[in-house]
Amino acid sequence: MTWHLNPSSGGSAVERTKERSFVRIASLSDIVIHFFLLRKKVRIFGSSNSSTAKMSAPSPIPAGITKDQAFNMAQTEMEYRVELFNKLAQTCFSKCVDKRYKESDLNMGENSCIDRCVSKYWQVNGMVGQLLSVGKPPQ
Amino acid sequence: MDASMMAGLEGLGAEDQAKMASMIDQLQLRDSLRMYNSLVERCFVDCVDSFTRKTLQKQEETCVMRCAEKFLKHTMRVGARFGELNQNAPTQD
Repeated sequence: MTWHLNPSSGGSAVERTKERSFVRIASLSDIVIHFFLLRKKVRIFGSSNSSTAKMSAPSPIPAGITKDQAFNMAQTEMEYRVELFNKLAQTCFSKCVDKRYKESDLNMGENSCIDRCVSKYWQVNGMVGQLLSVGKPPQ
Repeated sequence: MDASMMAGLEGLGAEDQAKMASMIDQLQLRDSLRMYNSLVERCFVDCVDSFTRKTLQKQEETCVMRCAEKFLKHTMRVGARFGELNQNAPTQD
């Protein structure tokens, strides 16, 4: 699918999306993706170094997985992470932020609420993950 | 932002790198658009209640501006916390 970027102002949604504050939003998925790359690269692409950015020569992919399969798995996990982040952000906003929008900044109470909400959501995520993995038959 | 992302791709072949980079780009674009839509919907639902006029009233306009600002700041904060949690507990799942 190709996106045609309209050079004139007020063009397509893609054009608007790439302006100003939405570049900031895009940076959030970077956090997810960057983390994922550091982690997953160890398992899928067989690199020996997991936490530093400097990489040595690439090692072969573990046996039993084709490159394509590995790539698809990587893509799926990335999509999962992005969706997790989006749901987390939406849920905590609904729970913590006053809908009357009295001001444009987040106040102290909302800040702490957000921090706690994220932490709890993360715990729930972990719990559910464990429950699901215990229930599954071994592969 | 881009540099730190691309740094993680070192060590893969050039072809793999390009593939991953294009996947990341696509994901980012899709995510940005999705957030755009959801933000518009949220602020509309929260701020606009009366349909006596065709154009937005002053208070509705202010409400929407604040809603958008707040949501963006909120998302940034959540992103920071999310990143921290990811760093601390890589074996969560």
